[in-house]
Amino acid sequence: MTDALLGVVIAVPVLASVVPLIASFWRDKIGWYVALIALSVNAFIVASIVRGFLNEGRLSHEVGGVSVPYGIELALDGLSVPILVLVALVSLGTLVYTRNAGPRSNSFYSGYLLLTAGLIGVTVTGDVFNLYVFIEITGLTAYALIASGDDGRSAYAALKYLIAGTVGASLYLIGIAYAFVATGTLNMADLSARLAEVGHSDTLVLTSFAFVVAGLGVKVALFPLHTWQPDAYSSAPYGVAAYVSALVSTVSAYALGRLVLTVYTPEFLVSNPVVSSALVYFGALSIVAGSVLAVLQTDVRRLLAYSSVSQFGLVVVAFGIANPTSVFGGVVTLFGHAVVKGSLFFAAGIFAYRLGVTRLDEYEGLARKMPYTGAAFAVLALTLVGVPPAVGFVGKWYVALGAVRAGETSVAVVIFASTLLTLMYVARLVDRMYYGAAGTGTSETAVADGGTGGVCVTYGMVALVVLAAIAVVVLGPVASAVQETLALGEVLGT
Amino acid sequence: MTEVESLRPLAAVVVSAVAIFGILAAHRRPNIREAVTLVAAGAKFAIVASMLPGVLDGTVYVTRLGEVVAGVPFVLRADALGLLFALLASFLWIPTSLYSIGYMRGLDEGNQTRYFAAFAGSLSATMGIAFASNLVVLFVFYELLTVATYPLVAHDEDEEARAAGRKYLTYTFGGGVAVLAGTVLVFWVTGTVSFAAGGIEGLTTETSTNVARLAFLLLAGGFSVKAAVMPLHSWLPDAMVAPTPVSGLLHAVAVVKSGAFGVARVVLDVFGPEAVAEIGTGLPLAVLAVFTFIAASIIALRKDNLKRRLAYSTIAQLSYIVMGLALLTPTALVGGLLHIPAHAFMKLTLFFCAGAIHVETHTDDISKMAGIGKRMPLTMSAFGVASLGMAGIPLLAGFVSKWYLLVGSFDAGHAVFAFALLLSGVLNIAYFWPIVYQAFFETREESDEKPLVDAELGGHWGKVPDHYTPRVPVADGGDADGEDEHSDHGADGYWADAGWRGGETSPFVLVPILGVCACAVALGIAPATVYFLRVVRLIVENVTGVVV
Amino acid sequence: MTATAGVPIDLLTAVPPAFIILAVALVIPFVPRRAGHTLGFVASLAVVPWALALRSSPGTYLETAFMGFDVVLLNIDSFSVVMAVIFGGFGAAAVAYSYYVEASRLQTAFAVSYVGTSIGAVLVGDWLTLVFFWELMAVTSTLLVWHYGGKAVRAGYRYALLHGAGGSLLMSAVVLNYVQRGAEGFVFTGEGMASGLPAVLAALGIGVNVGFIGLHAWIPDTYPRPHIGASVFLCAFTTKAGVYGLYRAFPDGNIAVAYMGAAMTVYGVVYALLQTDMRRLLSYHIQAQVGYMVAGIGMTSALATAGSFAHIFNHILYKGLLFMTAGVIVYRTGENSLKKLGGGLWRRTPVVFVAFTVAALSISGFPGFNGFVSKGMITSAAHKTDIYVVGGEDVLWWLMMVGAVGTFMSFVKFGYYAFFYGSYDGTLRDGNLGQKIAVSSLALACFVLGVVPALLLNLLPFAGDWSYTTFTVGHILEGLVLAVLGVVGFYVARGAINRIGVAPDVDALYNPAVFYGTRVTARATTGGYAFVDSAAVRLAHVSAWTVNEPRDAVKGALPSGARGWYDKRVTSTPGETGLRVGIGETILVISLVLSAVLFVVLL
Repeated sequence: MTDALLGVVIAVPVLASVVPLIASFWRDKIGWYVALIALSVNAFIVASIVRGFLNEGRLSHEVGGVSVPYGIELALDGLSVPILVLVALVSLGTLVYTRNAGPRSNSFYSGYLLLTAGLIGVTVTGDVFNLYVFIEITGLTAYALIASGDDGRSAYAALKYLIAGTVGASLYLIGIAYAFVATGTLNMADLSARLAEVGHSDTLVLTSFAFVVAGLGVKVALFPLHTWQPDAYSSAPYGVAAYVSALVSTVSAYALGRLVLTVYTPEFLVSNPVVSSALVYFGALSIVAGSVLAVLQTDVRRLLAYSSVSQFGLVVVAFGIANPTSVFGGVVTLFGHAVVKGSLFFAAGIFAYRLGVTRLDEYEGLARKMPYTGAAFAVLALTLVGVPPAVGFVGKWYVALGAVRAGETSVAVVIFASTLLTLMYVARLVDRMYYGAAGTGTSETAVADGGTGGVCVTYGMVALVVLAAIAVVVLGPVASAVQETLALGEVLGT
Repeated sequence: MTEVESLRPLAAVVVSAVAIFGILAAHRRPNIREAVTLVAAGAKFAIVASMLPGVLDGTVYVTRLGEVVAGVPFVLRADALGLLFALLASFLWIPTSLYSIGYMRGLDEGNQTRYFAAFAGSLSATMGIAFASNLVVLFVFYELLTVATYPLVAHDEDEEARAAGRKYLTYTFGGGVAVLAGTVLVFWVTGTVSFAAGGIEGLTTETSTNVARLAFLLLAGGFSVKAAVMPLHSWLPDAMVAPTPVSGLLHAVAVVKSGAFGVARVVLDVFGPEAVAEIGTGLPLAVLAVFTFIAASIIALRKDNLKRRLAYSTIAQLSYIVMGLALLTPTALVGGLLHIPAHAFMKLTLFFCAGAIHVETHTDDISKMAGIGKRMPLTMSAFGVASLGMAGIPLLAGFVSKWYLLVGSFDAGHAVFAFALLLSGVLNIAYFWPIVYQAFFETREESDEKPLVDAELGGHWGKVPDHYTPRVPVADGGDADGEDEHSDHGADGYWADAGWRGGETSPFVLVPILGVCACAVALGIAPATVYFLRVVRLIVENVTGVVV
Repeated sequence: MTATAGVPIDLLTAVPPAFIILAVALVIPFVPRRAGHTLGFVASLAVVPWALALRSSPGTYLETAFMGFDVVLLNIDSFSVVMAVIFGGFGAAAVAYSYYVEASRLQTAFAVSYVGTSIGAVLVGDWLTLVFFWELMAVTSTLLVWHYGGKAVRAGYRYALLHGAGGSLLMSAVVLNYVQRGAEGFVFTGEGMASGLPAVLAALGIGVNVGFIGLHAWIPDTYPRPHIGASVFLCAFTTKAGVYGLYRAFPDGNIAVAYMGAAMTVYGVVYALLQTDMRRLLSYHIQAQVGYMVAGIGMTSALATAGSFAHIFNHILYKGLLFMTAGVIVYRTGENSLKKLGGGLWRRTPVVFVAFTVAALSISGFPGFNGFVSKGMITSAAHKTDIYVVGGEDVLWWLMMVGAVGTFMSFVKFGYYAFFYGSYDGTLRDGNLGQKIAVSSLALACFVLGVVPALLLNLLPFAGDWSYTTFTVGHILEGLVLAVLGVVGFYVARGAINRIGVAPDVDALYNPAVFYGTRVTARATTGGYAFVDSAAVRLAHVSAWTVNEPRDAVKGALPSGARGWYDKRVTSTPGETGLRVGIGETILVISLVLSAVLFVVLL
């Protein structure tokens, strides 16, 4: 029975997204409440789906009863369960934040619900073309939300993201077209079997792989395809930036993982080693370049954006190595990074609203003025670096272990160096917050007129960030306990 | 070796962590805040000492806390080696806390709450390092120690302190990453990272010797960063910008000794002496240690700032420990391990004296300290006694460990290490004793230019023609008939004579100095009765089976 | 345990005397000066009866374990008794003397602790505790030298460094001996150091204390500098404890050591002749006289060893007396140098003159004084050895004869310039009775031991297997001939000696070498290391600079041609580094990457 829920979990936000638009004829500020109701229902559904997964293992559901090669199949396995849980939690968390800080118009919340539906769709779908459809939905709603910022820069950033995102999605479409031509099927499970028959070194299969990786690479914002991300994150309102940075790239990375690991399967990587090492070095390049660019930034949001580029490089490396240990490390890093990056954006937002600070040198002595948010910010940043026992360390440990087991020692060195590279930009931030000369940092004018846009920081927002910081530290040991249940061994078929 | 489930190792780690909250809560009432620190210090030492008799007759206290990562249990284990380090750090925290009170209030430094809280945090991390049962837990607390000590190094918050802090962070985090890499390699080869006396089996099978060598290089290299082995040492002299109690306890006892302790764990409990000898990495490490302590001693000759000279002396003495461990013979191991407490007591006394001089007279450079023996007689006498110990003069802790190191290096068949050790002993005399003799026996005009090496031959008196007969001091100093020329300003117009009854500085500063110096002498005279030699002998017996 | 003279053995051997004397030394600075000095005097003197009482029951007492090694804190045998007697006796005399020359309480405290550690060194029964007291002896004597301040401080520093090195060499010898021999290599079992490296190291380590040629320069450099009371202590203990240590290391002798000893006698005397500073002259004579003892130890015969111990006994007496007389002269005239003294003091300071003459005759081995007895023993032992025979006698004997003549000549010079030549016109400070008593009592002791040698001879070790009759015609004739040669030699060479003046010694060679050598190595190391450190700091600075001014960094990296284009770009695009990519360029980059990926994949 629970298989059917997979369809319901997409339907609820889609239907709910219509309600605020209709309701806006009577009252224009109820979008938030609709979203709250819809997403809490959705969370309840996700909980039951997870319970179903725990005792029945892999779930799958043909939409509309049409049999597999032609109908769309929705599937859920060890790889997608954490992402599903992540989407449910973060979407609820962001609501807590945007209630006071973020945009409150109805149209915003319908877009928000549509975006959540798209994200869940990408996570749950088992059909390659259906994945393209949900990626487009996610992309379009994301451009809309980013454009909801009130100054010109967000419009430019949204346009840039629109064009880059659409080019990426169309490359992905060409990729699956080649795969369809080669095999004649669109269902992932069926496709992976067919691709194996066609032979993994067949030119059609190789070109489809190249297009898919390039397309999703743009979506995941790996270096050098990342140029849309910093503008998007630094000009969108903090609530949107947090949500997008936490989920959109994460889900795209999951999609890349889904395709590389279950559609093309590790045998593909084994049979053409040049491709697998290219993928891994592509990720490693992104780690190094992302960190170096992050250190060069002066605006905190751009710094966090480039940090995402680096962290996703690590995830791609994990998927590129493709043994159960490194994939588990990649999933943990994905999950951990989403929570950390989202909360960091929330915290940056709180600092901006309360003290009007956005630039790095304005963060001098911040921790003394806002001790709790400051402490949470520091803990989250240190988790990003990989200081034990937080989730960052656990993720890195498994990826590194996987790399060493696969004999990729040079990649292991890059992974360990990534700790130092991340430390470079985190230390600059934390050092200023705790040791800067207090007082000079805050621009007095901003505080005088009650911060940007008159938002007063509520305890709820601060509590959210502190809760996230605690969750991240607790997540470390929890993550290692979860490894067996995800049973990534079967997912990869090794 | 019977394992006993008990909460004491965990209690030892947690007691100062809990104290942090007490300290933060009492930040408006300094006396209560200091009381919390002292109570925590006393409690921690009591807990650790309560485990001593048990450990001495073979029981090992274990606290299991689930798993950090799959296959790696989070266990705190108080075995002999861990107890040696924990006993030392917790015992020395007590005088250091007293001293910090005197020091911080003497200079009325800012951010004292953060200072004491960070101190408590770094002590709990040190306990964690001591009681870690495997490499991952050791790595976890090793990194937490760095994070806890960073605010202490960058305490002054001026640009220099923050630069030193950043340098400290980069070095130690670099070391930490190397340790993590080594841990992963060990985990990959043997499937476990838990310490086993005498080394983990299967680490150095024929197939995995190269990986084992790489793992040893990474682990020993990572820990050597904190053990300040050259060329990874240059964070230590810069970290001297921290307040002196920090330089004392952390940069002479807790932080640097955690590096040396890490090397000891790697040599004794991860690889085991036979395996290290088999993969042939013991000798290069010993050679590196010898190079370090000769070069550091020579560099120390040219340092005029007292604390920087002490820092280079610390770098040299730490390499005694590393050399002792790297020579792998049982007596050398005893010497290296015994030098951990021996050096701790002596060096802490020296740092306390440097701090006392700074608090009372605001002089940091040795060239300005001529005749200070009049102003601070007890402090400088303690400094003299401790510097005797550093040179390895009998009756002091330095002699005992130097003796074992000598026997160990001759046992190992390398006489050159013994001669290097003796050369370093003479170099110690060369750079410590001028401080002592100019303090007591010279006035400002007669003192030589410091550092000695840069002055011309013969110093001040070299310039004076030979026939000049100095004043014949009829009967200076306290005379029988009691008339002291006790004037406000000393004879040479610089230091007022403060007399020998301890009026020179506040008791908070003086009592710890004399107490720790007394411990150094006690360890020198009767090392066994002060337990440290017995614990060390037990450690070496567990690992090598040889009773030294 | 037989009770000797009513006092039970175990009471006597309960605590080694060294600890008692050290305890007294700790008390002296805190009690009035008179009480402190009497306390020191009694504590030191008490060692004499204590040692004689225990002489009849030799053996090892107080075996304990220190640092896990079994050690013997108290070892009574014929050698340690002789040393204890002379050290205790002379220590008491020296304490009395420093009281009367107004030495301060602290200085006497250091001096008494020095006596304590020396007595401790000669009474222990194993090598570990010997090293223990050996290094403490060096430390206490350094403090004694430093206490005087002024020039003594830097000399004390050189003294400390050299003795630190010597102590370390001895320690390494002991450790190597233990490692080669196992546990029984520790206790004195009569075989001394294992041959090979341990023996060489021990010889070098002890050689510093004893003053082998090349290692001796600290004696004339350090002894004349401190307070006159301190010099009296210094002249007696370190070198003689060194000879005792040499015997323990080479109980059955060593030819090289013997010849070094003989060479020392000549070397010391030649340099002594050239000196004008009184105490510096006497210091060189210490090296000469110790040369006799070293030769005695080096020769394997029992007579030679007994002779060297006898010579230790006598030498401490007359050398102490010489330093006391020189000290009184310095005390009363304030002058150190013979040239400035002007002479003619024999009328003004008659007691000092008489005491000096007795001491001079004793040191030169003139019949009727104690020097003649012990030097005669050693020379007759040399007479019997026939290793390198030249002209009917062994080279050892010839060197000793030349040394004896030289000693005569130098003391004739000292006496002539100090007491006879010209007249002293300076104001003379009045000496006190105490000085006169101390000086005359030692002179009496030298004379009595010279006349009744049996007093000393039956105290010496190897009692049974050597016999020596002091007053034989041959010995007396030899003594007189040497005396005449000495006087004539001085009269002839007087002009030459004054012309040569104070010749530089070996330390004029190695002091600058060590000093400038250390400076060069120190600068090279710090410079060398500063290079590595500055490279690290520069790297940190460059990375910090690139972070703070990314624009200049990028421009610096670009080739000069592209800089103009880059400047235009920076002004045109928002953000710091002008690296921000517009939409068009984004698409360009995507397609470039796509083609690269396709290229890689399809290749």
